[in-house]
Amino acid sequence: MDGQEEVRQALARMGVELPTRGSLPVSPYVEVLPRAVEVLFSQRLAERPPAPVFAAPRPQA
Amino acid sequence: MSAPALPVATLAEASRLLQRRQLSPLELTETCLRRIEALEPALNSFITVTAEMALAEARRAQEELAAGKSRGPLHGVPVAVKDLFFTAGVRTTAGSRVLADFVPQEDATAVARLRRAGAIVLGKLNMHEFAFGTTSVNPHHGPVRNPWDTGRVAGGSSGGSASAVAAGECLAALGTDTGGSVRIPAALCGITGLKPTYGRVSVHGAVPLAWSLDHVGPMCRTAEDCALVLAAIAGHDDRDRTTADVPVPDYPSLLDGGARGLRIGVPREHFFEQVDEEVAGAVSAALAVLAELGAEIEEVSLPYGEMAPLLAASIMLPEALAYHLPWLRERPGDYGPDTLQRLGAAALYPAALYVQAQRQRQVLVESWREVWQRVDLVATPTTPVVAPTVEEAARWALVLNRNTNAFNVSGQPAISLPCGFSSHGLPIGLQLVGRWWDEATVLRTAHAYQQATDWHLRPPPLV
Repeated sequence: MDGQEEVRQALARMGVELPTRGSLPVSPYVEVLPRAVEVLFSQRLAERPPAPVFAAPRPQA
Repeated sequence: MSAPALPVATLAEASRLLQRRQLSPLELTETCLRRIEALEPALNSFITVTAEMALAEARRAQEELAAGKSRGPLHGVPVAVKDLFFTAGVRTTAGSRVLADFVPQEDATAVARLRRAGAIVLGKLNMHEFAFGTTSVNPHHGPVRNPWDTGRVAGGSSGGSASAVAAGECLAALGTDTGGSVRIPAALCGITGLKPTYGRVSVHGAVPLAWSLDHVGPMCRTAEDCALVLAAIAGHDDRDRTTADVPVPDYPSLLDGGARGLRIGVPREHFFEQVDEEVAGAVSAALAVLAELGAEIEEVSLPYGEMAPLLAASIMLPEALAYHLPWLRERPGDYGPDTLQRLGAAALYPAALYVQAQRQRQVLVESWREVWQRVDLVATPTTPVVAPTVEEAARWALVLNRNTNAFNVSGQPAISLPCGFSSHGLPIGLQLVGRWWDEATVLRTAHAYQQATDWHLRPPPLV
């Protein structure tokens, strides 16, 4: 499956039907990301303790 | 039609004359409107010009000043805003056919604050569709053209804002910056553009691109002008919970401290790699000027800096898709091809990648806090290259934001200011990045540099 078809199918799973078949150029973001980046992030996160993505609001002073 | 000369070079100069009643808001507004009429066929900076509203506002400003009531340094100053800021009763398209008929009921907070400060809004500025790109080649409204060479792009996404200010169609503009969209066009058009700290200026009423990366900032001829506009728009907003409830310094009064004793870090890795020779040369010369002004220049390393563009993309694309998905389901054909392309790419990003990116972002911020304990500022080229041609722009889209999006990831204040020209006469930008919430030092250093140089005052050949 080429990048264009992969994008088309991913959008279709989200309920998006693209207007014209063959009209969507493939983004360089698809060529570079996300697979390689996921691996990179995992490697680099292992070098330093991971940070949380959420913190509760601090109590009022 | 030839453009009448603008009677002033900067907002600050206009402000001084307006306050002394040596220049009237109506006279200045009429001149800007005539310049817009004359220059727009070549530049395409505006999507909507609100001439009648602006003239009415100018008359009101004039009456208030005549009655001795001054709203401050922006009173009677003609400005314009990127067409993604809500403007009550005025169409707000975000540069897209999706919002072609959208007329908001209220002003965005930043626009309301400009009006409250007495600024006169001339209209809505062209941009990259939904701010989702760095070139401002807009499929619905046409490309914004660079006043230094109309065959080249103005940069983006706030291209109309930069082009209009550079061409003297207005004295200041509002832009937004999610990966460099204030600083990139500022650099390419030879003006000064500031992205404040994340949370310093409300984004309420600005059509979002990516919530955790979006910033609102001023685009002007000088750092002094940026300080005047920032002072008017900064501060907590109950309608934007990302704004911090922290004191806003009196930026204009803090401009004159000079650069002596400031420590400026130069991150050679990533930020100076693959940079055009002429751009690198101009930035090196600018650092030499800052050194002559008493700053201490030293090399630094920004850990994870090379990952910043990947982090920015991994956060921006899923957030943008989350915002656009309802419209994308209903009317995908109303999006331009490159916006659709990017939103399509976002559909391939697994949730796990977004989460990892946000975690990695925290690690990067913690690392950089350590760096900014040793230095006051970091300096880089704003863009690795000068403005590309309209035809070649798409090829350079991901190069233009290579040095800027790191500071959307970190949320730090960053300014671009003119520091030279290429051999083809195209502007080059220097980026200065400060500590979180320390816009004052960023502006002060840029002001010191602009007191010692005149790159920022050179007019483009078009005008």
